[in-house]
Amino acid sequence: MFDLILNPFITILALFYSVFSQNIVLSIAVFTILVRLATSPLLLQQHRSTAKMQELQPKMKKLQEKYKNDREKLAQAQMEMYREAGVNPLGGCLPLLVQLPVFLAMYQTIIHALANTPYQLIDLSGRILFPGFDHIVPMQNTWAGMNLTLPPTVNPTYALILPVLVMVTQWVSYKVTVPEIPPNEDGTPNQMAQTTKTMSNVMMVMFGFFSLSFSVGISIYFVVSNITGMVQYTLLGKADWGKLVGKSKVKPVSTSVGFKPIDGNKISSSSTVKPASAKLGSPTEARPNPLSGAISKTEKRKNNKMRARSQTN
Amino acid sequence: MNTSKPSARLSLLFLALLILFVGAGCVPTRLGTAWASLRLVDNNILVTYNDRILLVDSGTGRPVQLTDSDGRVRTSQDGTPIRWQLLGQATQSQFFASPVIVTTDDTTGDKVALVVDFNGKIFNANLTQACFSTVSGSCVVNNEPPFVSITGNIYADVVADENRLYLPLGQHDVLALDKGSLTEDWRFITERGVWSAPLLVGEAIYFAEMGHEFYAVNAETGNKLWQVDLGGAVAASPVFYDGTPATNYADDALTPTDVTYNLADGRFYIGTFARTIVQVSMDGAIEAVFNTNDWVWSSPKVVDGVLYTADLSGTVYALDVNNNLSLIWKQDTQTNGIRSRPLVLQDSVIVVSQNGVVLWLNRNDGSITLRQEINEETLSDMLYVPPTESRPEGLVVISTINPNRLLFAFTVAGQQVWLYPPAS
Repeated sequence: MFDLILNPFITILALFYSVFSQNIVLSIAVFTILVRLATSPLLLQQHRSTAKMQELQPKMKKLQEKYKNDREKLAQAQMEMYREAGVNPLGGCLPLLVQLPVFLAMYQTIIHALANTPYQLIDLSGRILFPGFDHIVPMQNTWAGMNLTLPPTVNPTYALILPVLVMVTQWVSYKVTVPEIPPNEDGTPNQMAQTTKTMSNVMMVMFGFFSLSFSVGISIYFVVSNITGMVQYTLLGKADWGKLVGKSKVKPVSTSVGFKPIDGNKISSSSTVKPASAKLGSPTEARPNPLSGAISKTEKRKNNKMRARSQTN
Repeated sequence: MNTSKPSARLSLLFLALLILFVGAGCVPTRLGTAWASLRLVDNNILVTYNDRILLVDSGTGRPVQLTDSDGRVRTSQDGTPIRWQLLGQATQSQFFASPVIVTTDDTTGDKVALVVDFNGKIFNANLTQACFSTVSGSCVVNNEPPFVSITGNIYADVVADENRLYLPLGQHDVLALDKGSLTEDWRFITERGVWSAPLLVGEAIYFAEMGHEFYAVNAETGNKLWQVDLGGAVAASPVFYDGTPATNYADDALTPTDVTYNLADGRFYIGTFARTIVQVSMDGAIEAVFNTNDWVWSSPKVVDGVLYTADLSGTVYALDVNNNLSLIWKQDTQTNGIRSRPLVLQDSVIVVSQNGVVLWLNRNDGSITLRQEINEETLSDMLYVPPTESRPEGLVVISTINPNRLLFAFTVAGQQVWLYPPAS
């Protein structure tokens, strides 16, 4: 079953390896970028879903207070709220789960394609789907003195730079692409913001651990994937590089309870929740991005509906 | 599910990471390393596979037991007979290359074994007592024995002549070590790994690498005589054929050192991943190429002017070596590929597929005359055990990758004789 993903992946990597003068690192990098681009719609959906969920936080708090003694009614009210807002509560996680097989396939592709032992190579023999790649097998599995199929710990010492690079790019990626969460009305830190911060740290450590445990080739995948993600978000105007130096593009301001009018361009072009005080065309608004035009229109339509509902309420 | 709750989100994150971690580890990524190597030693089968080297009685399929000088079976403290086996536990070793048997005393016939593990450690083993030994010859039981270490992995059999060991290194190079001191005599640098046993013919050693090149090297000095690009990676040992009729099982040894070759009429035959069988002359010229359906990882077998080989599509070929490798017959066995070398015995060509289907093909036309299924993944070369006084019929021994059903023995006619380890 898994072969349905794995074998095409191996074939594509073999194709790149053949095209790029049998440079395996370049082939992995290009393949990673391709995979990242192919999964972009999922990432964008996840991003939008996360942003929407954050917008609903104040309302969620109200509901939790209101129905704190009746979990059943709370659940009903929450579902109603999600339905009205057109939000799928799992929308932020499903795309992530869908990406898992892709990541696993990528990991397996590197291990299988760069066969390091006779048994691995014989396993590879039936996985390349098209003839014509016989002359490139076995693919070169060493680069800069490192065996790409082995973990950094059993490679030369300098290979340990790769897990560090993975952690750094992971942290930076999370920092600049995950939406800023404003503090609560009373100025206390938002619990969700703290969770997000914890998650970013956990993710960084976990990916560092993965990089130490898994092959060097997968570290290259992680680094290129993180960098590609940051470039993607930057091109879409969703990256907030100011957060790296504590100067966020949009200062987080608490949102009041209830549905706020939300500008479509704002949601689609910035990863930060729109401040309540911000107005259309204000200096704090992120640049409109031509790449996000189609998304913006869709968002706009949905948000207009939400605005109408909130006015009715 | 309320994913906005921090705890729920964290749980989902950890679940996703768990799936990632387990998935990455559980899908068979940590594939095995290689397969067993079989060799006949004094009518016993020396099996080298993974964490152990063991001796199996070819007649009964039972483990060979250690005996004392009076011929009595040695037993442990609880009375259990002690089996002849060398375990890699103490040395953290994996073995895929048959030990090199060295006769230490020509008058008594005493032998020792040089055992090379996957990670390039070379141990001295006492064949009489089945133990690793120290420099002084005493047995090492619980501690790690002394070893000589070389850099590189060993996937294929090591070959030896009177003076040297020749080690094919999995990453790159062939290394020649002095047989006595185990110090480096010379190193021939190759671009890619050498995954097959070299071939000693006359005063030269011949080997192919995964980077397409086939080399002839002076065995004494390590100087290159010639090299030729075969157009594809080579993972199977080359075969030399000089027209001499196959007379006995010794012909199955890839590197016989006690054979006189007719070098003037000799040719090399090599299967490649470029889906070819290539005939190379003694001076390194490609004389003929035959195209196969898939990668060839099986060493050919040449008998009476006919080359028999198989590819990873499961097709078996018979080619005329006296007529530019022209096709005599081919047979699609409808199996999932053949890695092991065919055996040619009497009127049959015997092959075993990767998924454990053993087939007897008519040597004249390739038709399938018998089919046996052992239902285990099978990648090793088969071993032919010649008849003995007590057993008038020869045996075909097949090794799987499953240590619980490691060896199957059939008669040449196709009847299963024994299974090792014996079913309890």
